[in-house]
Amino acid sequence: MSFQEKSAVVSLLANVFGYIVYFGEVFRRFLEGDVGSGGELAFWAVAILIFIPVITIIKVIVHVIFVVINTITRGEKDPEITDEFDRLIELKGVRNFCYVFMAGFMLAMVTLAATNQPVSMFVVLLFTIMAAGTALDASMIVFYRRGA
Amino acid sequence: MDKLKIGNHIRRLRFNHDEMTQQQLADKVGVTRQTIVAIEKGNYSPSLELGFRIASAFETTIEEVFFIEAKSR
Repeated sequence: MSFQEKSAVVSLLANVFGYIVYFGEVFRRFLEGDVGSGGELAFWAVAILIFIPVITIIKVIVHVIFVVINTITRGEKDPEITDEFDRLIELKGVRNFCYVFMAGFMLAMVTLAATNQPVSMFVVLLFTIMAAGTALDASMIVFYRRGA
Repeated sequence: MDKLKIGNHIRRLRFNHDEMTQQQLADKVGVTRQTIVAIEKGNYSPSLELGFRIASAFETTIEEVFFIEAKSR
């Protein structure tokens, strides 16, 4: 497995781990009724907004740990260049991210229209965010393995 | 239009050039070793620029490095 493949696997695991930990806490608070003074809509909106920097920090920390451990155990350094192959794979991964996110967004709208419950829409959106991020990382793993 | 399958002689050319490693070729042409691996396996067709840089690294023409394997749908 190349460095880029391992990095994509680590990113995928960090994404899933961060999502489970963060939204586990968010759902726990919601089920306990601890939604704050702003109401349910503001609670979910803030939860999504805070998720972005949280998952970014988690992924940066996990990536740094991965690079250090990989360098110590394998002597394999992070390639310092991003060449055309890397850029193509990243573009295709982002394309797949967008496809999954749009599908999930449409599903969230259908859910809202069907249930008239904003909570249902937000739950679908949250799963969509995780699914899209997973699709991005999984795409990169597949493309690095099989070619772009 | 049928998709062209493009092969290459990079592995043989590396061997003939003082057994150049994939990393050495990658450093010479400015890409990662992973990219050279993908090109050699036929999993990635490089850009025209990279193709010319690889040919230049072997001091030969691009036709001596890359060839059309077979036409497939």
